[in-house]
Amino acid sequence: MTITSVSFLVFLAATVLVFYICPVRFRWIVLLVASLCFYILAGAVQFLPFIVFTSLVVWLCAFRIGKLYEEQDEKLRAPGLERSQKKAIREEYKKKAKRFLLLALVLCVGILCVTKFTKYVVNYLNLLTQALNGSAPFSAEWVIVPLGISYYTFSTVGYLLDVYWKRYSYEKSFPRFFLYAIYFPHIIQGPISRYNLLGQELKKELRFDSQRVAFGLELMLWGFFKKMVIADRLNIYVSNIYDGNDYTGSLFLIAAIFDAFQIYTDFSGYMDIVSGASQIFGVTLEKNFNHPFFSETVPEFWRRWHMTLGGWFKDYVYYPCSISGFMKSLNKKAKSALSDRGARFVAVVIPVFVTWVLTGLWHGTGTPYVCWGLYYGTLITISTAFAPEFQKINKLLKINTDCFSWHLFRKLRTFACFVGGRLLTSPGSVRRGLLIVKTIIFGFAPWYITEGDIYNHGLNLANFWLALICLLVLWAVSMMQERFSIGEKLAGQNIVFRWIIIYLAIFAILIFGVYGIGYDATAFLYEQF
Amino acid sequence: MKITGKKGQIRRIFKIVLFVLIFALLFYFFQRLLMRKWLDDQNATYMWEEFHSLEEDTVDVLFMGTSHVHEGIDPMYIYENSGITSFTLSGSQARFDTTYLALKEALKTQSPQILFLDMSAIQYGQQLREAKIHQITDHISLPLDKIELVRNSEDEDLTMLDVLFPLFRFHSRWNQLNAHDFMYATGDLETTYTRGHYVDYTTVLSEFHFYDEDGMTCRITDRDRSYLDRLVTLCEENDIELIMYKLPAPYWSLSLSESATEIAAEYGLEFWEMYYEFDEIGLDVTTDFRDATDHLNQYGAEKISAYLMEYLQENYDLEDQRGTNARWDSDLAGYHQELEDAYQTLLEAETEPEDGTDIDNQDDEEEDDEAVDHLVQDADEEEGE
Repeated sequence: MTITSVSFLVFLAATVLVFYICPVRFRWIVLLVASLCFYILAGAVQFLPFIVFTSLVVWLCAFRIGKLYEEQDEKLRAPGLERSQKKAIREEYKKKAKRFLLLALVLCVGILCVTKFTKYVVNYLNLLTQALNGSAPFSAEWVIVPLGISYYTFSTVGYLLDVYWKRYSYEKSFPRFFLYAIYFPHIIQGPISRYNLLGQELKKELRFDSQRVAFGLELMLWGFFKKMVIADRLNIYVSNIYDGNDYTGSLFLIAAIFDAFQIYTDFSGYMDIVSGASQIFGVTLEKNFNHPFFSETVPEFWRRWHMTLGGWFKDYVYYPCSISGFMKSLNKKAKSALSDRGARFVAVVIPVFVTWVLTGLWHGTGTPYVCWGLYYGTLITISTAFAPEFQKINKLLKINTDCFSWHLFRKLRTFACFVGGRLLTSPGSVRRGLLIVKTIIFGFAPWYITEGDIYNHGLNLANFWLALICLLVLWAVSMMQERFSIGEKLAGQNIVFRWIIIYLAIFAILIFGVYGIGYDATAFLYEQF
Repeated sequence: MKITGKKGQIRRIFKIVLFVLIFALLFYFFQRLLMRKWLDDQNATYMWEEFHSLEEDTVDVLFMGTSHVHEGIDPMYIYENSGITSFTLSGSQARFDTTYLALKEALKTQSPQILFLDMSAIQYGQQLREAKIHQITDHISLPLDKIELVRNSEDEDLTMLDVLFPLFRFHSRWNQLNAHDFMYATGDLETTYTRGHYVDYTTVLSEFHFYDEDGMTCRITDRDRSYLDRLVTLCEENDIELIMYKLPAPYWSLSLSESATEIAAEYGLEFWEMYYEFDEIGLDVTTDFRDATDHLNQYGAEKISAYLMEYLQENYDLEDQRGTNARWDSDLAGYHQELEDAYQTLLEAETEPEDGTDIDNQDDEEEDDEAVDHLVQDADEEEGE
């Protein structure tokens, strides 16, 4: 059962029905059962033990850590304790809590690493042994990747770390915690939810609100439009060009641009569908996209793109890395050996690269993803570390930085950086990506566009222009969303106008959607992570 | 102002019902607009539109089976010459499952006395035929039967949703829409008068003999056989006399003929192999076939129709409805116009013989003149009436 299938809609409708028939206090149980059913219906019944295990380990360890902190607080409340005694108690309990933290991290992150990296490691080991003695003795066929493992592991581990860092209290009920881990709208492709947000949302009294349900359905429609009409249509052209050979630069450039829009509409479309579905139950999911193509810098782009992943790495990798003992001592040495700016550079560059290489590895194993991480690490380091120099150049060249053309230039530059990053991973290998870049620069051959060859690669004239029109619609809607809530604005309109818009959306999806025989509809791209 | 309480609830329910109703209407319109129309030699759309437009209980004889039926039998020729009302309700490569559904649909409005079932379908095995199924299912209701048909189908491309709602199957036709699609959607598709028959004067030399190739053996599946059982039962329940026959199309073998005989015998019926009556019918391989797969052309269809008409007149007491059935009488003019149009189309078409066997009538002025004379004569007679 995929999220764009009719069976999902039937499943959702049935869940909504049962959910609102049940008394309020049992509604979270309906969601738990529905989430389990969804996981099974998604063909992942064999992976169920993995998610149960991870959730159980994290919940138990967090529970123990929470209990330890309660004991610690009780001891600290004892009258007449001196400061050194309090410190000793804190250290003692921190040490005990750390054991549980490490145990859970080793088990849960260990499973994640084994499932994600074993094939990659085995391949390299076999290459090595083949070079040495001509044999390839290792096999990775036994490795399976449980559905949604990256997402539920990150969500639950984030919760564990937050409990360990005392950001919030532990969850006493395992079923409640398990619902947070397996909640069906976010299990397959995120968002990577924080327990203090989603956990609390799921604990609310989930009552029926017709307007909220309407907003949810409208958001789902927009998501279906993005995925089925735009992303899957662009995918036809992109995969046709990237899978083929001997194409020219002009065709490659259009494929690269389409690829950027495809991944955006695919992933954000999914988010809109699941956020809308979740809204129907009264549960708000965290925002994962905020019109990233309007970003003027690469760091801003990553604050608007896959926001929950960026936030997770910032909170659980970048900050801990920045304030780690190693970094503190390195900063000290850098301060004594280099200038202030040099020391600041060192303080930024290492956590940035660590974070981005890990982000790359989260997206996939292999050289392309390491290069992708290094690419963004470099871009972000340059843009932050050399910001004063860039400002000086702007001043020197007397560039007006407060006008439309400058903002447009910055947006296009950021978009080009993103396209560059996609070229490292999307064509399959770094080598092929670089070959495409070379072809774009040295073999552009624009007549392939003007003579109409562009329409021979999966998208005929009508479909190609429909794709462009849809991108225009995407831009217009995004511009509106930047300024106001379309759902609320629509709710304030007359019923005739409102319904016309909704019918237009429904039939645009039904008619122009890429699905069924004749179309090779794609799975959501971020399901693989 | 927000209305709350019971009044608000009723209003909300009314709005939901209205929304769904409008959605259903729009869905129906777009479905009719986008679904594939079969308006050529696979003329399922015209056939079913015309069938559904007939007055109830006005068809006495049904001819069912594969494309050989609607290309090889001309019901209006039979009516014009005998007053017997008949209809060719067949489909391209139709097997007994879709034929059964078609008969069930037909019986909703008609009470035929005789059903001629062409047995060509026994030569089809488990080949994929998703589009062929849509030709029939898209034009009939019977949702439960459709669901059962898909459930039993071996064709992976055939989905329940697509069969129940063809919009899902044919939505990608949005960039191929033509005038016919819009006319069909708005109910303005041109009326046809041939009672399911496809008129074509194209002539191709046919080699008439039984095939003796290995592949030409009975390959009827158990599933299709069960549908044939049901079809026979349906005929019995509705007092329809069933005649299992095979039109004399050369794409047929002795082995198939024998198998058809055995199958018919199992139902206590006699299989009518018209191949053996080729000369009696008066068929001519140089003039009466229209394509390489040996479909009959209009000349052949008229000969077959005349032969069947005689058989019906001799063996059954079917009412001569000429002069009493206003609809059928008035449709004769339209029928003749269609014959003329089909002939003019042939004359106007640029013919490029594919091989040495093409003896299209355009190359034969003498035959052209004869046929035109015949049509003119027919038209004159009608005017005189």
